[in-house]
Amino acid sequence: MAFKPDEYICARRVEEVVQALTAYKDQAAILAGGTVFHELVAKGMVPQIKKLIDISRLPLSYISDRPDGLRIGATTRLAELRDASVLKDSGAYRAIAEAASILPVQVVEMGTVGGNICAGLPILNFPPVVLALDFEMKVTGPGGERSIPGGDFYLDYFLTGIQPEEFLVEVNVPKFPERSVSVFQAFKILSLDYPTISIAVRVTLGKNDACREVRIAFGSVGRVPLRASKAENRLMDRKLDERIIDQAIEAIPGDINPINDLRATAEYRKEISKVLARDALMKAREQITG
Amino acid sequence: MSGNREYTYIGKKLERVDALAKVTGEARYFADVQLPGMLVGKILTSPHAHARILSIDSSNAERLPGVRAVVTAKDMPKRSLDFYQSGESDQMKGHGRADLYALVSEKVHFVGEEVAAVAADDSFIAEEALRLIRVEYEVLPAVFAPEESMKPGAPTIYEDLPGNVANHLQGSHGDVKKGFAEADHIFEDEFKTQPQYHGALERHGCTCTWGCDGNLTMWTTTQTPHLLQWMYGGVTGTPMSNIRIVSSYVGGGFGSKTHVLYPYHVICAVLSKKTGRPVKIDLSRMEDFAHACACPPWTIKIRTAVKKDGRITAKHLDMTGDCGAHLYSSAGQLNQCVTMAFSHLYKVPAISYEGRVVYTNNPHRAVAYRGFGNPQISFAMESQMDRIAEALHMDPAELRLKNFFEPGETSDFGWKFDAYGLPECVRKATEAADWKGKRREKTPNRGIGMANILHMTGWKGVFGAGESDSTILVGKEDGSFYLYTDFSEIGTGVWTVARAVAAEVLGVSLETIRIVGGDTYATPFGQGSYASRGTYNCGNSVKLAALDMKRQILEAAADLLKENPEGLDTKNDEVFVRRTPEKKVPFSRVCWHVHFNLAKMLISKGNWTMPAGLHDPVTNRWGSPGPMTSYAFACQVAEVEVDPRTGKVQVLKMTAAHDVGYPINLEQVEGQIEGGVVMGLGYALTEDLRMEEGRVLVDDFADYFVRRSQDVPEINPIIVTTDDAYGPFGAKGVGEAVMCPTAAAIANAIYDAVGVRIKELPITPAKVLKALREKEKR
Amino acid sequence: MKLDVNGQLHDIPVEAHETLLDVLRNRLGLTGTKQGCSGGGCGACTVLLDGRPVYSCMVFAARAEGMKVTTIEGLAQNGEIHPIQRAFIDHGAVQCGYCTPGQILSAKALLDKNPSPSESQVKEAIVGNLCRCTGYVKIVKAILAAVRT
Repeated sequence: MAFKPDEYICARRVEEVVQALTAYKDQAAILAGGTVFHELVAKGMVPQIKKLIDISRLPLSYISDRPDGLRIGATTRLAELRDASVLKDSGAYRAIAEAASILPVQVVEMGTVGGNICAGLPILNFPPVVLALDFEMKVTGPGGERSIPGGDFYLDYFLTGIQPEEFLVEVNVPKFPERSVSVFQAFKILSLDYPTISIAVRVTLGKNDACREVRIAFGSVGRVPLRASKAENRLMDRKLDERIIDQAIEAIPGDINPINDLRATAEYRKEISKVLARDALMKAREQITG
Repeated sequence: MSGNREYTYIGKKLERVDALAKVTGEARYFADVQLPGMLVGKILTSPHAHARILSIDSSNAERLPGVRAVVTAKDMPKRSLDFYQSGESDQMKGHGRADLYALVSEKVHFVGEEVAAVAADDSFIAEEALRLIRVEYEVLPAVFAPEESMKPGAPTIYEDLPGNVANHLQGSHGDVKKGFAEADHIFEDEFKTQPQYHGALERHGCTCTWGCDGNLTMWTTTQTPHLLQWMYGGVTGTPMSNIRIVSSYVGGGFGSKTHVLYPYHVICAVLSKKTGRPVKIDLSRMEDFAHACACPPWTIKIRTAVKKDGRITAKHLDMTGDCGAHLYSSAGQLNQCVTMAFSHLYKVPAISYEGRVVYTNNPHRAVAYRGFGNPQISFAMESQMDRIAEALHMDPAELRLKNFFEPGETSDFGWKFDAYGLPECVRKATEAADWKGKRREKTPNRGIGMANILHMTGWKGVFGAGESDSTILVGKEDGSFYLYTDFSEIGTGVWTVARAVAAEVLGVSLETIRIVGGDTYATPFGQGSYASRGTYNCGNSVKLAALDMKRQILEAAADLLKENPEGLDTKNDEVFVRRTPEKKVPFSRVCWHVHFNLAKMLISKGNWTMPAGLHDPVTNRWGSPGPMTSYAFACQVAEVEVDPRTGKVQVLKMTAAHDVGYPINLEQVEGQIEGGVVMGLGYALTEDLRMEEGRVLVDDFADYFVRRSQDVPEINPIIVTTDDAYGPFGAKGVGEAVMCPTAAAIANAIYDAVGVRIKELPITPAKVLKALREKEKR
Repeated sequence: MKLDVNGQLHDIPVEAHETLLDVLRNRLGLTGTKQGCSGGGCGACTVLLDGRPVYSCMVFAARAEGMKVTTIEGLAQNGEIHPIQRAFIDHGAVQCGYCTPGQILSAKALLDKNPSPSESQVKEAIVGNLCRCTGYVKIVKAILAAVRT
């Protein structure tokens, strides 16, 4: 069966989208930037899609910095996130801007944060950030709105906690304490490539510069983004000095589950995971203390 | 030719003939041709690596509304598409096997082999029709590695060839035993190189349409339109005068579109004939990757004997290639590795070699790839030279200079090295890169490495003894000109060279000459763009045509001016009397005079073939190449920085010195060097057409790691001029030499940086990291 | 649907599955925009949408309704080619030409937004445009030269 949708719905209201999703379920696809979707089409992975629901005209493109945290509309383009000073000039939210700094320009101008998150592909930049920054995904469906915590969001390749009649409308990011910093980094073989492995790190320092909160999350290390919990635990309540970091990162390979693929072997990814974590944690330390 | 060069166009800044059309989007490639009633052609390919075809039932497909034709092998010509390889034709014997058919009938030999095809109203119907064709297969055991393929008991891929060795080469020269016996040191190394995907941005395909008088027009993308015309005629028994191949602009070739009549060409033509409508087969990038053109992967073993002063006394080569299921030109590639780099990069008194190209059920098409085996053999040879230099405590550049020929020397095989720019390339590249200084410096994790190569310019003897290229010049009534060349413009700028050469010789402005190329309806026969022969062969044939045209113009002008033609010359679109230059007449007047007064024609022709012997004394084969007339020499120096924590190699700078004889279009020569170096870096570090169990694992550029704008280091191209005696205005070829030394230079630089030698391409970060870890343990 | 291409409004039938690239090439006959791959990011299909560079093979035609599409054919004004086109010619940035329209449009998007980019910014702007021929050196040079005009 070839990909041959019979309807392109340019939605103007959220209710329209929910109605269409409820009516067509698995036959419908949400389109914002379309940069992931078209790759799936090319690979013959979505022959069942008959209805394209374009949500790019909905009023879901915004970045709102509130006392209780960030609210980012699902169709906010990556280029906007990349350039937003409330993100790139902040300590705690910087990883969002870094993750949104995708190449090439043709993708970052069209791609949206919602698309990057909802694809369910851990090779994309946002999944580890979802874990590291405790994103909450606000989805809406026939039953109204609900929130899915980031930790519960990714279930498998292409599978998230969003039900077929629901779609993502907003992402909420908590307000983090002072002295919080986040970092996103990707190890790539060439400039324009998916990450061989990526990392998102968030650190909050407390009394005596000890870690109050640590998150270390990886992309491209399994079917879903994964947290390196053992390494996180080794850093909790400790100072972020080199010796402690070096000791903590040794635990990372045990927490991740990479595969062999065209970019690298599982073994190589495990090696690099430590290098990447070290770099990211040192950078975080530098940003908080420096 | 040498000395004072006062040219108007040659060596000056030239605007490319095709640039305006390309920057405006006006330049048309085959897929841009839209014809009324055009149908979509699609090909059904084998899902199995090795299987017998028991039956094909296309009845359901035929019945689908919108399907206009379904074809299988019975609708195709019986002759193989590469009939000339078998010695079936007079032109070529012993070089290969004819094993390529438009559609197979009995057996499939690889995943992606063409089994059936349809023409339908649109691509959805065509794809649906393919799904409705029922093919019954009996799956057979398959082999995916040459070592496995050669083992006794391995599946036989072609019934007439048990053992699967498609081509075998063996020989020696000089006293090899003595050479090894008298050595102070013997080095033995094994190297592996990977298949590289050409990745030309314009994909494969063609559009065919027939006239009611049996006249075929085929728009396609080929580097060799006349050869394609000849092959199509030969395969189908159609007179060539009934075949028109149009391929003026080609969006990149690099060897993937070089003298091969592909199944899709013939399939498309047959579908069009059967339906009575134009048919377009436009292979998607994913389809292209699935049965991708690539250089064959090789295993190369070299054993080298040296004296302690660095002189090489003997060498032995053992080389095995995987050609997949069709030989294509891989036998020629093996042959060239032996006769060119192995026998002639260094002066070695005794050599022996054995090589083989082996069939497997792998899906790559082992066609020509830029360098034609030279990047691979040079990687091996030049990596080993560095190992030798280190063991002998010699500077790597000094070791090489010690083993070169003398300028003007003739090798034991008759290769005469005039215009021998190789030592100068080494000196200039190393000097510009501050070779000595950087090697002394020893910055941690940084290294510098070099490699040098020779490559031929042009080729002959693939099909016949006198392969050439042709130009026809026509003077119009108003003094402007048509220049008809067999060459397509594949991006190398050959049309611009042609125009510059013609304008230079004629003494006219560039704008008066219009190039018509790559259309067999209008252009004379010639080999086309491959083997670095564009500037060389086209330029020389244009020169001959222009000289004759000038003679005709001067004769007619003499009639007008009442002067002796010997006393005339041309400049700035005018013919003038040398003694009294104020006495002159414009070209427009002369040409008008010829046509309207003298009732004559202004047509000239130029046909040029390399004055080289044909029979190669090294391998005793026809056209392999034999002694060449002109050689493209080069030396590249790479500077790298290695991250020891990840193994990732960052290329800091590439210095590339190339002997091009004389640069007719300097900017384009630089462009070739820059482009070739980047392609070479891809080959060295990241590109790999990965296959597993007979399937290509890569399906698009996202997973095939070609370098982008941000992955390009500083590149310093250095032009070495040696004034070739045969090339037009002293020029030689450069198009392939540009990527031949790169991988070895990189490998050598990595060794200099962190002390690990990677002998398997591509040199991925994982390989470097692994080697570093192993080195730490030791 | 109505499609604004190079300042001209076209009223054309479009099917749901058709991409902007399909419509430009097959319905409007604007073949300057090329298809080089199956969506893996070669960039040959680059056009501008409201001045922003996009992969037209990854945009459904219907998506572009109400937006301004610029293709390579739209760059020349009153018979004069654009300075970027001129720069590509003048600096040897064209070889086989297949990537050229896409490169030029990516460059235009950059220069319209950032009139004096650094070399590094130029490289970033065209990283999504694959070139197999030039090694990018003269393309970057041409774009930087266009800055000065």
